[in-house]
Amino acid sequence: MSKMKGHISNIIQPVFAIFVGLAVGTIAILLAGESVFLTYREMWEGAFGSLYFLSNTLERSIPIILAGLGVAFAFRAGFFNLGAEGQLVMGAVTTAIVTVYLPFQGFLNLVISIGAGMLIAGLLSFFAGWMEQKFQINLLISTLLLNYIAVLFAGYLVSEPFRDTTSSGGVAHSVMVEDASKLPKLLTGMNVHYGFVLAIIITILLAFIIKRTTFGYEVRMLGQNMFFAQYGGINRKKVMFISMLISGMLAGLAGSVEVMGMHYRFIEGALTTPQFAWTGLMAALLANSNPVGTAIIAIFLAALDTGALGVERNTDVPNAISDIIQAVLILFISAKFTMAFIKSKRKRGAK
Amino acid sequence: MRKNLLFLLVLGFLAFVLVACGTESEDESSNGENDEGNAENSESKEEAKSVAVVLTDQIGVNPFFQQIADGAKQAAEETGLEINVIESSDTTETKQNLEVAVAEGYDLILTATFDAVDPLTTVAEANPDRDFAIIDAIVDLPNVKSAEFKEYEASFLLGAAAGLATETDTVGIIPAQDIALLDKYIVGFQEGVAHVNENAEVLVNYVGSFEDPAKAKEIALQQNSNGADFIAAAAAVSDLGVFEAAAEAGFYTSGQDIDRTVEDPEHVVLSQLKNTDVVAYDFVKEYGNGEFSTGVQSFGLAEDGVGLTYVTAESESPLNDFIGQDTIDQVIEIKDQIISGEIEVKNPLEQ
Repeated sequence: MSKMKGHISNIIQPVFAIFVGLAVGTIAILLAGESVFLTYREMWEGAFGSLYFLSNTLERSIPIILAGLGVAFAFRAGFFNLGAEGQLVMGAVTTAIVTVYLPFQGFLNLVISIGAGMLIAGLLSFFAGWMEQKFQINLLISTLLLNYIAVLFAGYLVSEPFRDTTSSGGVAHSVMVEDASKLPKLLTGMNVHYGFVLAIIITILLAFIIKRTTFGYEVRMLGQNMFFAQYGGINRKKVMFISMLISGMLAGLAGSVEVMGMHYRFIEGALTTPQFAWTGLMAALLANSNPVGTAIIAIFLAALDTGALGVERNTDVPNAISDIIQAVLILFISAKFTMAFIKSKRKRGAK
Repeated sequence: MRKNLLFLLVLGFLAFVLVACGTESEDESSNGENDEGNAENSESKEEAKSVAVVLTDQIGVNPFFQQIADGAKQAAEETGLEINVIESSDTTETKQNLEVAVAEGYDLILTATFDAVDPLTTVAEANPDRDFAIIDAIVDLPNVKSAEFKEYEASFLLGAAAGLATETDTVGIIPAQDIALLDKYIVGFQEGVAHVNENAEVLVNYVGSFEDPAKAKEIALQQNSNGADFIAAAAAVSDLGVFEAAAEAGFYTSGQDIDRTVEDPEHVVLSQLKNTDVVAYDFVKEYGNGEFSTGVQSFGLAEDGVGLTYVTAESESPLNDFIGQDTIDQVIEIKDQIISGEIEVKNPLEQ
C-alpha cells in the first residue's frame, strides 16, 4: 500500500511542478499580450506538430537524456555529480579530435572516437571520486569546479593546437568530421540521429541494472543509507568509483554523440550555451533519479525548448518563455529539497 | 553527519541554481523589448514577398542585433515586404530556424554573424534554388549574398585619434578574445597609432569573453596603471566594465558598433561605428526592388559601412577636450586619404 503511494507521489510531484511551471509561463504570455491558448498551441506544434519538429525535439533530448542518466546513476548511489557539464565537454572535444586523427574512417572510427570521449569523461569524473577518497575533497565542490577546468581546457584545445584554420572562423572550432565517420541520421532530411536509439537503449539498460542486479542493489543501498550499506558489507569505495566512472562516461557520451551526429565538429561554447548538462541534472532530479522517468522528462524539457522556437517564430512571445518555465522547475526542485531538509531537522528536534 | 549531507545538498542546489540561472536571467531580461514577429504573416504570404531575419542570439543581449532587425524592418516597410524576425539561442536552434524558414516559404532569408556560417552553409547547400544573405560573415555559395565589414579601416582612424590625443604616449585596447576575427580591430588600431605617433606604445590585453565586464574592468585598471590614458574597448558586453573603470580611474575610452559616447561623454570620448543597420536595410531594400544579386560585398569607410564618431558621423554628445577638434580635423584628413587610396589599410586576416 505505502509502496503504491510512493509510486503515485513520484509521478505526481514532477507533474505538479510542470503544471506550476506552465501556469507561470501563462503569466509571461499574458504580459507579452498574446493569447495563452494560441501560444501553447504554437508551442505544441513547434515541438511535436510534424515529423520534422518531432525529430528536432528528439534530437535535442539526446544529450539531455544521457547527461541526466549520468547524474541520476551517481545520485542513486548517494553521490552528487555536478560535473556533468565538464565531462560532457571533455567527451565531445576528445571525440572530435580523435576522429580526425585516426588513420581510417568509417564505423570503426566512429566507435573508437566515441569510446575515447567516454573514457576521458569517465576518468575526469573518476578523478573527482578519487580525490574524495584520498584527500576528503568534497565531491560536490570538486565536480563543480572541475567544470571550469574542463570547459576552458577544451576551449584552449580548439583555439590553439587543434584549431581548424581552413575556415575564416570567428569562433574557435575543430576540423570537420569526415562523412564516412559521422553518426548517421535516423531519417534523411531530419535532424534526429542514431544517438537517440543509443540513449533509449542505455535508459532501459540502466533501469535494469539498478533494479535487477547485485551491483544495482549495492548502489541503491548505499544511496539510501551509507552506514547500513557499509555495515552490510558493501564496499563504499568500489561502488563510488564505479558509479562515478559510469556517470562521467554517460555525460561524455552525451557530448560525443552531439559532435558526431549534429555539429560534426567541436565548436567552443556550442555545448555549454544550450545548458544540456544542467537541463539533464534537472531532468534527473525531477524524476527522482529514475532512469525511465529521467528520459521522459528530458524529452519534455527538450520539447519546451523546440516548442519555444515555434512560439518565437509565430507569436509575439519570445523564446525565453522556455527559460521562464524551466526556471520555475528549478525553484520547485530547490524547494522540495529545502522542505525535506527542514522536515528532517524538525524530526531530529522532536527526539 | 546526515545533517551535514543534507546541508551540502541544499548548498549544492543553491550552486546549481546560481549556475543554471546565470544565463537564464540574462535571457529573461530581453523579454520586454521584443515586439517583432508577426503572427498574421502566414495568412497573407501569398501576396507579398516575405523576408525572414534569423538571428543567432536574443536581441536584448546585444545592440548589434537590434540594429540589424531595425534596418531590415525599415526597408521591408518601405518596399512592402512581409518581415519576421526570429531569434535563436544556439547553433542548433539557428540551423532549425533556417530550415523552418525555408519550409515556410520565405523568399529571402537573412542571417548574421560567424555563428551562422556552419548552419547557413548546410541549409543553403541543401536549397540551391532559394535566396539567402548573411551579414558580418562570408558564406561562399552561389545563392548567398554576404556582407563583410572593413572594421580595420575604422580601427585605423580610432588608433590615429588615440595616437594624437595621448599625453603619456601609451594607449591600450581590450579585445574580447584571442581569435583571428578580432585582429581586424587590433591590427588596424595598432597601425593607426603608429601612423601618427611613432613613440606611442599600444597595450593589448584580452578579456577572454564577450560577456565579462568584471574582468574587463580589472584589465582596464591595470592598463591604466601601466600608463595608458586612452583605452579602446572592443569586447561587446564586456565594454561596460572598461567604461566603469574609466569613470572610476579617470582615463578615456571608446566604444564599438553604435555611438556609445552618449552613455558617459566625460570618459567615453569616441565610438567606432559599424553600420549593420545600413547593410541590412540595403539588402532587404534591394530584394524588395528586385535588384538582389548574390556575392560578397565589402563595407568600408567609402561605403559608409564603418566609421568613427565626430569623423564620419555626428554625435549627440559634445566632443571631449581630450580629443579636441585639432585631432578630429587630422583624422578626417586620414579618412579622406584612406578613401582615396593614398593610405592603404590591409585586411589583417589576409596578410
